[in-house]
Amino acid sequence: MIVWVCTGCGRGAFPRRLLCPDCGGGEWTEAESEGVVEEVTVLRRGPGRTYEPAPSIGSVRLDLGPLVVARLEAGTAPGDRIRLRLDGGAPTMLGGDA
Amino acid sequence: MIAGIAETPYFRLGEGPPALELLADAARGALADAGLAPRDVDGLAVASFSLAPDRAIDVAWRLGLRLRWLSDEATGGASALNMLQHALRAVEAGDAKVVLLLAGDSFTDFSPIAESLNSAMRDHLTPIPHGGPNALFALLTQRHMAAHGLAREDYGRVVCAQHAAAGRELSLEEYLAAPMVVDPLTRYDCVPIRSGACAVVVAEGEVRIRSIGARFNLDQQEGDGLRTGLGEIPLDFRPAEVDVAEIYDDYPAMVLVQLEELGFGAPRELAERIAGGRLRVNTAGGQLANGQAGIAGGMHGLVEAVRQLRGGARTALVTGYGMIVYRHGAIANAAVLERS
Repeated sequence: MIVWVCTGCGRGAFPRRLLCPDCGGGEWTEAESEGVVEEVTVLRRGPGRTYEPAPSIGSVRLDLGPLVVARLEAGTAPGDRIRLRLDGGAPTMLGGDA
Repeated sequence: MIAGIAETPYFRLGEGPPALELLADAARGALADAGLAPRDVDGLAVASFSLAPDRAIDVAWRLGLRLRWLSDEATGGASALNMLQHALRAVEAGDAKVVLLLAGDSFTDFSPIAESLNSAMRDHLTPIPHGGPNALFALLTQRHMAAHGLAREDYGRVVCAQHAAAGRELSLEEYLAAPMVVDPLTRYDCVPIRSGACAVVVAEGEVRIRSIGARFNLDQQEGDGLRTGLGEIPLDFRPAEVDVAEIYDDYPAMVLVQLEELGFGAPRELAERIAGGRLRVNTAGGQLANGQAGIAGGMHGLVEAVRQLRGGARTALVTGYGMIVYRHGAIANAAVLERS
């Protein structure tokens, strides 16, 4: 998936920031990044509803730095290396091996 | 510097009066409690998610208050202490003498807030879908469990103790048997949303604020969420002297996270001390047992701390936590209160 990279110091960010938290710069480029799954949960119920099928949601540490919340494929486990894309704004796991 | 408090009854979604009426009820209650009249008030701070299109100045007008200090607050579960800190400084500086703090909400449907609290949530979490903050705190709770070797029983001890404090028995077996909402959180870990309001009068009075402070955007939302910033605030207290701790409890993991940051000990030992009554935390059951009356959930602990000080406690610790900007709360604050 696309993340934002500060042209001043190379720091990655997602979601997009206005100023770089590290160097204060305001110029960004886009770069593709894979990541590693850190935690996985399954959303079974919400207020007044159940989710069927229940989506898997995880924290994914991207190689370029940011920790994002992503839609995962069922069966994904912590430690798995995955590729993602943005689907309607949602970081979403791509099938197949990274 | 606290002279009056009030808390309205809580209502289920769609059953309560409008936010403006709840805030007015709480305002009347706190002023009566302080022995003051509306004409004595010269400062007002208001926090609400459900007051739109009205704002703090509309509340002032509807309550007939002529003011020289006004604050329109938007810091979620940290609102009560953020308002308290600012009001305290305003009174100390002479900008106001009697400041009324109001926090309250009335909801018919919470999902617009759960889905669009801010643009990052609306654009990048709701399309997953994420079902509101529960999934985020499920991930955080997993990190907490892994970092400290905790089990669901450890959180259950906190939840059951708070239910007991609210006068409702919940056994650890019932807690563990509840259906999963988002692993590892069950419905007992996820506060039900309610409508309700709280009010506090900041003026010369029976309660003194010994110490207060806050931290904002500690980790850029890129850390593990197991540090809120409370540990960095130079608060003037020792854990051993705290008679009651009113800790912001949107999820049980956050109770243990904050207490550890404040120097009370390691999570498993904390859960045991809370269950055994050796550490008095969230003495009226908090949000985990009573529900979260929107933004009033963040003032409940402050109101309860004052009740406890009136009832014999000498030193009370109160925390606030809130505003999930992407993955966890970005604001944390705390105050140490004592009898004057």
